[in-house]
Amino acid sequence: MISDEQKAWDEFRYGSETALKFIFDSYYTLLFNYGHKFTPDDHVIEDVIQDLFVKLWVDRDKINATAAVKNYIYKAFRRRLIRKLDYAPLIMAFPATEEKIHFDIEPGHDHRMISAERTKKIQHNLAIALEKMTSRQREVIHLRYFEEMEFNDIAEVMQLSTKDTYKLLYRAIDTLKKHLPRFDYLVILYLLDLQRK
Amino acid sequence: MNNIELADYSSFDTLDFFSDENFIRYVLQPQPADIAYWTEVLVRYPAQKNAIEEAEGWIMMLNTQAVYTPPALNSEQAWDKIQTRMQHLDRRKRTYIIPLQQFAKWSGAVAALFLLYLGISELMQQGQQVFHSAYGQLRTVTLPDESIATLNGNSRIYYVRNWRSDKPRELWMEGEASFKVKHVAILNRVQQADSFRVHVNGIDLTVLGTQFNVKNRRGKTEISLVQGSLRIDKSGINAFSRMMRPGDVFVYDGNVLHKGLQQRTARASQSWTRKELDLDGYTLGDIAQILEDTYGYKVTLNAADLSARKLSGTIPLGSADDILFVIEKVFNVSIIKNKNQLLINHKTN
Repeated sequence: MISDEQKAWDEFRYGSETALKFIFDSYYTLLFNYGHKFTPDDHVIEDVIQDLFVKLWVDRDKINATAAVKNYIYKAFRRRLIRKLDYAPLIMAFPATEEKIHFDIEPGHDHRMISAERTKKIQHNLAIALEKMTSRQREVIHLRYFEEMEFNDIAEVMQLSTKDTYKLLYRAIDTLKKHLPRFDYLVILYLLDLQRK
Repeated sequence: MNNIELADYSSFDTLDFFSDENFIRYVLQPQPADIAYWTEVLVRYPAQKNAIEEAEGWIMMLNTQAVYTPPALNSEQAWDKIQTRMQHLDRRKRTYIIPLQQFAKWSGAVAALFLLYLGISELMQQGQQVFHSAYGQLRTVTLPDESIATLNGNSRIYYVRNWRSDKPRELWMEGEASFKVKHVAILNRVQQADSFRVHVNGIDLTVLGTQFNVKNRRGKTEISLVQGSLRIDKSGINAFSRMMRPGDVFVYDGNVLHKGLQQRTARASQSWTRKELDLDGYTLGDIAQILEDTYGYKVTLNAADLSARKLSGTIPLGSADDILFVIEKVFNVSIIKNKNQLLINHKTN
């Protein structure tokens, strides 16, 4: 079963402007949102999105069929945005440079939660933990939990190996572990403290 | 419910649930089986309730983040801008890029054809080069070493093209040709490789720089040396080797080489290259043979006594008709021409 998106992608590759408009409409807001995690500068994001779609149109003859349109668009968008933000590592030997890329997550509201008080507390903990992460760790978290991407998709979009993507996520989880005020942890400390007295 | 196989969650904390793929799927895209599974987990691990709730809360919080929309966001306006640029680029592509690409494609094809032509002509010249002249036609051929061969009518020369400096220049011929050989040897250091060799009628003529005429008709070869020196060699049966001096005329009949009749000078044998025919030493019979060999006529001499008639002088070799006219006058005969048949009779009057 071919999705509407894939059908639109193929039609676009054969020169349909309407089909490209369909793809644009499905991703415009999401790309803006994703771009906003990197920079607060709306003009830059807007420019990058426009350049991206113009470039897609110009290169339509050379673009391949793909089952993962979202990955393609996100990857291309991310690459352009990073280049534009001048964060792109000039030499690939220094991938650490990318750590500098600013990437923000503000936790949303969980509507399924039990009490408002508990929600607030959880949200607070999460916000603290996220703040302690590197921007790339935050980005992995965002792509996994907000964009609901699988690991190989995340790897493709961020131009990493699947192994490195896993590592990045584990480090993110580790960061959460280190910075969360945890109940068990506090109890142990309390008990130790008692013993010392 | 009790028959569901559960993993061991007794030591799980919030982060373990938060990063558990099954749990994430349950929170984000719950299927009935997932709901049953995790309900059972809550029943069996009541101590983990807190952690499960917290992890679920985290995932939902991250998942339901408000999508950022700037105040001025207008997707239609943005699309209009993109569309304008798209159309502008398409127009430019149609007016400049496509014609340019097509031009490039065409010029590429033309260049490829040209190269192919060069390659083929080069290849064709690698092998044997053949030149021949039609009846009554003179042809001048410049050889690779800039020596010049002039072909009389109905003659042929051929050679293998890649003459190299370390080997003698070799050439084969039939009919009649006159040569002006370029001297390539360094003074006083003549080598075998400097020589120019003509193979004709089973004999070899070896020369350095020189001018000579070779007439090979009806199995008889007449070699006239105008300038320089020339050696005639025959290998195999009846082998011989003779040096010629300027002015010498030698005749080889396929068996024996003998010095030609002195009546006919070497220079006279080359007169045809100047579009003249020196009659010295020629009988009407000889001329009839020339008309047959060089001009392609079929000649019938009707009186035996005419055949031996000799005259001296020079006939201009313009068109065949001119020659016939002159012969009629000079030898005082009548020539009846019927296509390529010539009938030579005594003049009747």
